Amino acid sequence: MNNRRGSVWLTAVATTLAASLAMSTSSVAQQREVRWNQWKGTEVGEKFMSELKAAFEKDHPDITLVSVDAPFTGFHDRAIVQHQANKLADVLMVQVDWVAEFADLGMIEPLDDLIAKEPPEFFGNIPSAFHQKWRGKQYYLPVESGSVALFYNTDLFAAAGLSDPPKTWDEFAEMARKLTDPEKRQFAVTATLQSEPPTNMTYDIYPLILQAGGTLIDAETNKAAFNSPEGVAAIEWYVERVNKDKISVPGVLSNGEKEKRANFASGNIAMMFEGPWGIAIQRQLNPNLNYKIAPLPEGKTTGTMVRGSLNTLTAQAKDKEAAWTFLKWLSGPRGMAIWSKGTGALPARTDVMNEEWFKEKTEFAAFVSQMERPTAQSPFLVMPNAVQMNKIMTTEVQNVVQGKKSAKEALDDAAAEWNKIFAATK
Amino acid sequence: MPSFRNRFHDEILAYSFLWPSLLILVALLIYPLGEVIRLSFYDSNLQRETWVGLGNYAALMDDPLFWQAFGQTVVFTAASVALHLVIGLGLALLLNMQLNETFRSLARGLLIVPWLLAPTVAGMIWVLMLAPFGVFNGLLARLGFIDINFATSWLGDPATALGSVTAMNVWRAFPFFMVMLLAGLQAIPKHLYEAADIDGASGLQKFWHITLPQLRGVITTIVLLDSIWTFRAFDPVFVMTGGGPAHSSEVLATVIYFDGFQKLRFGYASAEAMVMFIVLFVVSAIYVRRTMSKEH
Repeated sequence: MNNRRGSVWLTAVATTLAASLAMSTSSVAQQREVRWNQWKGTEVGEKFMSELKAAFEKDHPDITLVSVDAPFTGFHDRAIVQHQANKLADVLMVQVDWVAEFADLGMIEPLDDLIAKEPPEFFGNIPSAFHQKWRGKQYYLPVESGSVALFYNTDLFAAAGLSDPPKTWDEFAEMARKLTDPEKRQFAVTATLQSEPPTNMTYDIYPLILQAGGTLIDAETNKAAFNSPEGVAAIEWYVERVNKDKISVPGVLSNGEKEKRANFASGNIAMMFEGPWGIAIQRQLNPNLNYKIAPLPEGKTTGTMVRGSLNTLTAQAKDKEAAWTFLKWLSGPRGMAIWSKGTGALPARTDVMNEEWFKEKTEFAAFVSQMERPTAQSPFLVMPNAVQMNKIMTTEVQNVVQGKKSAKEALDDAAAEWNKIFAATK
Repeated sequence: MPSFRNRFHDEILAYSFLWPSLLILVALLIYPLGEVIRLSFYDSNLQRETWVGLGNYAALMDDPLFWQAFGQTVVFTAASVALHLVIGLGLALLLNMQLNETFRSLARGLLIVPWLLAPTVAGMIWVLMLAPFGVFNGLLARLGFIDINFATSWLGDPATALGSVTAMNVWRAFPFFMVMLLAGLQAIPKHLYEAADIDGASGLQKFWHITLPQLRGVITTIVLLDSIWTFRAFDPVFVMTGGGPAHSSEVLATVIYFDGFQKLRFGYASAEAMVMFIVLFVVSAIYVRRTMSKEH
């Protein structure tokens, strides 16, 4: 009798276990997962990243978003290693400079087939600068955008008797001299020519070449074009400000973005070339700093660099459909609005820019006005190895600052190296 | 006397205990090394591989940046090891004097702190200290050596960048020498000094004829080890200067890294790594030979 009762119990327990296992297996099978490798978590905080995850999963309850956060320093190199180890996440955030390189390495996949299934107006609200193609294919969707503008400390300007920011190179030079007082450890700018990571050309050098009337790359010949008289004039003007006027914090050859932002936040540096992502960074470093943002000064013409953070679909993505769902959600009107509100980033969609909450954010006005100009350029997608090309340019400008080469010699040497890279990746 | 069968059984048993570590060794050392040797004969960007034979090695011969980095690595290594030895020996001699035991333990504990720091952490601390308005220039200004308003950027000046990285590396690793040499000093038999005292030897003579010869074994070992560690050092340079400005502090490890991960020339970077490997192999062979001859 006891035996029989025992076996009944055993059967019941086994059946329940089997049923619950089957249920959990089927629910696991239904729940899909997207792993998103990005560097923003450490910058904007885990709280917002959790809110973003909740918002996405609310809209797509069948997909779990797993955010894999890693610091920006070394992110590019780590992604290559992860690709080699077959450990790349499904969606990879990239800088615009890396797109061509990662596409050529087979790390990321073209999105054209997926976009073809979307309504024809898919890119209707995304400016063309944010959906450029590489080798005729679309490899990314934008997450945030921005151009380089001039941040200026209103307290230091007022103390120097200046009310408006400089609008031309001449005004900039004159004001910079007034705003520099080494005795008080006060300088006009932090000039940044750090070797590694070579990210400073976007802020310090390329905009100047455009403002001088030059271009970086000749679109027809696909060769370096910055070693022109205009390019030379830009470098000479920059070096004169650094070496003769001494308007920069010392250590120009080792100053990087980190130092530039920290110095500006300290309140002793009058101006900084920076993108809209710098607003959130300044808020974190010194929320009490009084500053405004203006378009970059003009030389012969206007000019700035347009950049942004982008999302790509990796070749190793396990569930490409789910990954695409997340990609288009974050670059769509709802996702991008949540992202921009939460991170303070400049949206890469005109419909989001036209929302009331965004129009109230006057600090973005300078960036938006610059991006509407034809001289706001984003040449990075036609640079097959932008990281290396930026480094070549950094080293050559360093040579001019040290007096080892003339601006013409340095730019000719940099152009020769760039052209070797263009030739090798035809 | 154990039978052949028993001995064979014992050997099999012994080797069976070894295989997990051998497996790890093969997976983490032999396989990657073989792969680097193979890649060094290819033009590879990870996406495609083209056989170039000794092409990478031939290109290396004409690469001024590689040889500049090679020369700077030798300078960095020689200066670091020499200063580690001089400072380490000096402090070891001081700590070996007739001291209060508590003071000796305390001093030894404090002086070893730099060695406990990861090279990256130590590098970051020094980056802050060497900044134009950092602690180092502040100190020099207070002592009247420089005008703080025209302060040197130690890491931003090609003339001082490599020296600054070397200084950090010396500071971080001298405690290893100090501790090893102190242990060596304390093992020297006292009667040698007593005999020298009776013979009327001076302090310098005792140091030259007793201390140094007695420490020779320790010194050779730590100099060889330190040469290997410093020659392949990557983190201090990468963290502090990134090899700049204008490659003035570039060392072999950073050149290999940038050629691989920035220029995507993995075949060429492998050839560079092989040159570095050969240098390190020679030094390691001397070290292993010394260790084995001591054991016999």
